Amino acid sequence: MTIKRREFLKAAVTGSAAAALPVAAEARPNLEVPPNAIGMLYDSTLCIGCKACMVGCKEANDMPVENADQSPIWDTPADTSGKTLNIIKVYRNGTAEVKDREVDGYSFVKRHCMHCVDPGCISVCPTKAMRKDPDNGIVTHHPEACIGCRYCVWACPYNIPKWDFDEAFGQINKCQFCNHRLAEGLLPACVERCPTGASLFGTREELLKEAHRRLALEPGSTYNYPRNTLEDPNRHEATVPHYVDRVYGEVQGGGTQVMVLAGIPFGNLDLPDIPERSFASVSETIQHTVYKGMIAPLALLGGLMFVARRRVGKEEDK
Amino acid sequence: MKLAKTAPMGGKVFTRPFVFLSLLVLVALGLLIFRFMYGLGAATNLNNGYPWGLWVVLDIHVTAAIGCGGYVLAVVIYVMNRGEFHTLIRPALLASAFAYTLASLAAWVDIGRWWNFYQIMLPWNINLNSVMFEIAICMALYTLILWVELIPPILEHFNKPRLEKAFFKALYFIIPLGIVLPTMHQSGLGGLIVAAGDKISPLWATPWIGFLFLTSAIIMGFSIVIFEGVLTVLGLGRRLELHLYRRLAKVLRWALLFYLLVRFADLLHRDALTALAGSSIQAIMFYIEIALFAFPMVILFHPRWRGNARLLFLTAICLLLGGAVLRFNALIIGYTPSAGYVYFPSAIELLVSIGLLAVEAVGFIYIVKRFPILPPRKKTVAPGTTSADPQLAANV
Repeated sequence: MTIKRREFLKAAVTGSAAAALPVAAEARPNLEVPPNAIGMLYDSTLCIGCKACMVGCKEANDMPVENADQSPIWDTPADTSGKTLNIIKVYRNGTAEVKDREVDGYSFVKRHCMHCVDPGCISVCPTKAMRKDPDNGIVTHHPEACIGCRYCVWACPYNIPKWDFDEAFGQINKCQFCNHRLAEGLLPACVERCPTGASLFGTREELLKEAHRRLALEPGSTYNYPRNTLEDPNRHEATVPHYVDRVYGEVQGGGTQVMVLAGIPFGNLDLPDIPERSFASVSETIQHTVYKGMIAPLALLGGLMFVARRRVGKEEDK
Repeated sequence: MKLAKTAPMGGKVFTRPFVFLSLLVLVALGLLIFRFMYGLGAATNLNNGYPWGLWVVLDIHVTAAIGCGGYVLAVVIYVMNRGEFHTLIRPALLASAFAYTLASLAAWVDIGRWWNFYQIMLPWNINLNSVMFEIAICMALYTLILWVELIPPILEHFNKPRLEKAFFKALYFIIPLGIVLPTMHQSGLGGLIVAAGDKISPLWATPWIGFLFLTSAIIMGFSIVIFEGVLTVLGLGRRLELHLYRRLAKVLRWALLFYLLVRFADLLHRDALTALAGSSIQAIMFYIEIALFAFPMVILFHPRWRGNARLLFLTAICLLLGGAVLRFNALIIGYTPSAGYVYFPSAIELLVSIGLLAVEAVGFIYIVKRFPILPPRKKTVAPGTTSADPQLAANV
């Protein structure tokens, strides 16, 4: 009987260890780019900070102005929020004389949902209120399924989904890539309003090629920059700046469908330096190793039932 | 199953401390009405940099971990075959049932779309990738299991021996389930932070965090049994079963040693201690957390100190605080929000948290006085028994 108990203990300990230990049997790799992934390319060096994209976004999504500085007239949000899905932020250093220079310079950045290839918000959402279109890859939020736990707000590496704390009966809001406009054959509002072509719409593949084309250009030479889309004939000539030699979003966190080019290091632009392996894949690897086929929890349960039966039965007989 | 003898304590329910605690509950209830009418933004200091605050950490994470008394005693009694701890199980199960009920309630209070909570139970919404989903389902089930495990005292109270006998058959399944579920969700509560990646300081962001949360919850489960045992002596004038707590402390010290070994092996393996450079608030909180685990270990491995009732009580308090600090660190202090956000809980958050703890105390006091939870009071302490500690009794 003692031996049996010891055997059981061994089984129970192994079972519970398997239920708690992050020993990866087979890692869940990053998700793949969807077949018809659309994309956006934001070239910070072309951005003049006019915020026309912010106005367009508010109109297209029917959202009110926000007054972080208490001015009653202007839309002055401090960050993306429950009522601001897209924002132009500025990096400023020292005298801020020269655009796209890190020291004594300044630079703009446009912040909104990156539409990750392997989104953390979708991985963490307990109710599937975050979904990714399997074809074009747009990441959308569906408030009807949302319980408001704010795990997506907490876990998003880009701090994008926002809970509307101003409302008594609030919801999560984030950029939906203007999917209501795309359905009507229109461009995303921010892209449509951009006067310099800083925001471009297209397929992720084409935009990635365009981004690498720009990185290969000689700084100081001229380039015929497109507006709205790569196909649009309404182009304009501009001097090629010194780009940081990387397309942000090509590989970060498993890649994103919104990609960024900049003249200063991305860390200054609110774009974190994150590893290529998505956090979602790390988390899911642990979760699915522990609960693979529910074998470990069921083994533990079975072992414990065996023991409980003996214990309880023995005491009942007394 | 022959349980240890228990009896209702009897006595007046509405004592002065009871009335005071009830007032705290009423205050919290009033503030909760405000929270439901005006929303999270109005009631709390939560913001989009810190979307999780006091309620998530204290009222869900810490409260659920404190509710592990029933879990660890079930393991000790049924797996380790230590039947002598039976006298402790009913009060522990009761405290656990209250803790888990309140943690589940707190989760509902904290979710922004509380009217939509049932969405998590709809089959087409199930996301098996979400650690939060696993936690929600396991915690809800286990809360139910805890109350089911408390059916025997109710049947005894209403004198239904035949039903009691039938119920014991179900225990074959219920007790094991009551061990498996906490093992799952207590590690899951830690596993939550993995998906946040490097938004969490390397001092806490580890693939082992689930294991650390589980082990520390077990440590907190032992500690709460000891803590509540002594509190019952102080508050309700019970005898102290010191010999039982001493024996629990012996098991506890190995869990503690194991926890600290894994904690440091992981930190060293990932070279995470470099994050301690400078005197950041994170570093300070890390040292406090480790000290609250390390100091009790010194006491517990010292044979004479371990036997001292007051030191044992202090040990339990340190470990409960240590587990709480670990959870605050991993979820708030170690968390890096986007620039420009700060968080400190609002008065409403604090008062609601206090009120929820008061619910537990009020409910516990009422039930032990009316239902057979505690061992019957003996008129005098027989000489030579180890169960009463005159030194403690003299000092409290």
